[in-house]
Amino acid sequence: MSIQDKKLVSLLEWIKNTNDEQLKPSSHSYISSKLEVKDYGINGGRGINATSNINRSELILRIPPSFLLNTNTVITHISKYNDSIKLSEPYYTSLYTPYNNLSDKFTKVYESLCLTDLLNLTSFQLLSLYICLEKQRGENSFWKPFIDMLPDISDFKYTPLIWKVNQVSNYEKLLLLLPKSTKQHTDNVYKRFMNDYEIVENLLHKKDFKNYITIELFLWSWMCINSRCLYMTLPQSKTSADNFTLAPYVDFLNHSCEDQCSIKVDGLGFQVFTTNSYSKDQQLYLSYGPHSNDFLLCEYGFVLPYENKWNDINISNFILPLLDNNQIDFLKDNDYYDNYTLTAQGISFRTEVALAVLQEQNPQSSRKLQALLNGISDGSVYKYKSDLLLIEILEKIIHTCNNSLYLEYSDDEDIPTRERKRIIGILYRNMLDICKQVKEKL
Amino acid sequence: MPPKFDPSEVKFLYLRAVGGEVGASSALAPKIGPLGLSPKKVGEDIAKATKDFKGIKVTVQLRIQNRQATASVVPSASSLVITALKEPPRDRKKEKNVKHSGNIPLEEIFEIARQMKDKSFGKNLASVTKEILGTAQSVGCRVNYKNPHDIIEAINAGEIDVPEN
Repeated sequence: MSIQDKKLVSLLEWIKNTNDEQLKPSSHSYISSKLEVKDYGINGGRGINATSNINRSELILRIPPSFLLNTNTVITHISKYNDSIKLSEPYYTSLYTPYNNLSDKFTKVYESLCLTDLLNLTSFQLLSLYICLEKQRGENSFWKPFIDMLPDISDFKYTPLIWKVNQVSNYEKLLLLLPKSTKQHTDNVYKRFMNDYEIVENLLHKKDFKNYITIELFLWSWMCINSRCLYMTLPQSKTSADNFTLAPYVDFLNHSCEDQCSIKVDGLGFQVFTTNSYSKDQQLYLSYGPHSNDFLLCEYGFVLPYENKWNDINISNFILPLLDNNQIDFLKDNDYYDNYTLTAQGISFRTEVALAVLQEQNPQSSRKLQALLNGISDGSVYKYKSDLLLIEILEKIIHTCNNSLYLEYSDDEDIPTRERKRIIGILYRNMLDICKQVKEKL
Repeated sequence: MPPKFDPSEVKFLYLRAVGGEVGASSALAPKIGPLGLSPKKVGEDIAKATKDFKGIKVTVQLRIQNRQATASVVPSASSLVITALKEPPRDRKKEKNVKHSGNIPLEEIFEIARQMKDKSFGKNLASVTKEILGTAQSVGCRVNYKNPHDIIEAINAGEIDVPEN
């Protein structure tokens, strides 16, 4: 049995754990016997495989609230080490915590944090901090079996954020090679990461705990959360981004663009149902949402090996400079400013409106434009000139893509760099495919 | 920022439309246009999705996800009852205040009740059937050539057996 397998067994035992007979923390745990964790090799990584036929709308997984890692459980667990935290809300008190509290140098941190400190952090910051500390507590941690099964930092080697933070070889060159929109997205992710790191670091600093968390460790826990958080509404959340949880076992499900499993959260826990039937030896998928490859790479660190129907290209950079102030005002008034995209099926209606507005000196008083916005006409009066503009933009993108296609088959001596370039090349190829398909239809 | 499977990424819009007709999309346009959907195209999609309900007002559900919309009809008791009457399609502009005076076999009422079971809070098929019969009464049609309310009473008295499901 390999180390990975042993870890998996201990995770399964942990989820079904019934050591504490009185509280029966996991009496609602359920993992269908028709599932197994399978390694799909370099292309897929770990995934969940069906060992026999599974019907439609069958319950396959149920993880009780006490085994979900989210703000609720983290605060409840920390409160066991901290007498100043009094929790009375049922969403805290109903959670199971182990009876024995093992103290070590990390629990000192918990002792010093008061409830306002914890609630001032976003879910993301709180969980990153908590996982960093629990990881270092090793055997003492209740969450050890789960934390052991989290991916290694090397599993995120394709994420541009990692290139930047860890300064991998040739990272500056690689970042410059990225398509513009991917570059922007990476910068946003980087900002989010640095902001979270600073806030957590400042908090620990204020409480006089130095060198508890290195940036490498924080990056690892941050990426683990970012790549496997699942949506779940939490009672104390301030923003919608706070509404998430980590769920053991559920996070093995891989992504596909079609909906194949559905999720239901209620008092019993986090439940997964199938939405179509599976035959034996098929991999089960969960759609993480309608995301393009570009988004998947920046946030989760992978691209789909087959065609991703949600791929799109953002052409706002080409259109926005052409607009004059009057046109910009009109677009803003009508909620059509920025975010102009095109997909393989054609241009989005936002783009169509923007291209039409470009042809109007005085958009406010144009009846043709009103008819288009109200869906009375299909905008055929604008079509000829819009298409010309669009072709011009497409030509520019196709030119850039053609110049970057070689990346997919680059012969860089450094293997990690070659692999990373291959991924960048795939992004350009996706863009080129969309451009060609749109152009053919014009 | 990106929790997987975020339900707020999917938007649902409900509207009443006349089946099979491209309605006035101007009510729809300010809502769906900025989401990147062409109001004209969505109007046509709605007409296509409702072609089984020609000339009858139905509730349409629009499921919008990442610049793609799918239209589907929300089954409602009255529109299902009226469709079951199999009246010839009529011109809504010329004929007004139409009386629905047809007849529906009880078997079809059961069929409608089965479709509506998910939506209804009724405990079993019998109670959902009674709800549908009530709708039939308000529509003005007859069931098994009887007043729908007589059938309800017959069910209550146990004279008519309603299948389990």
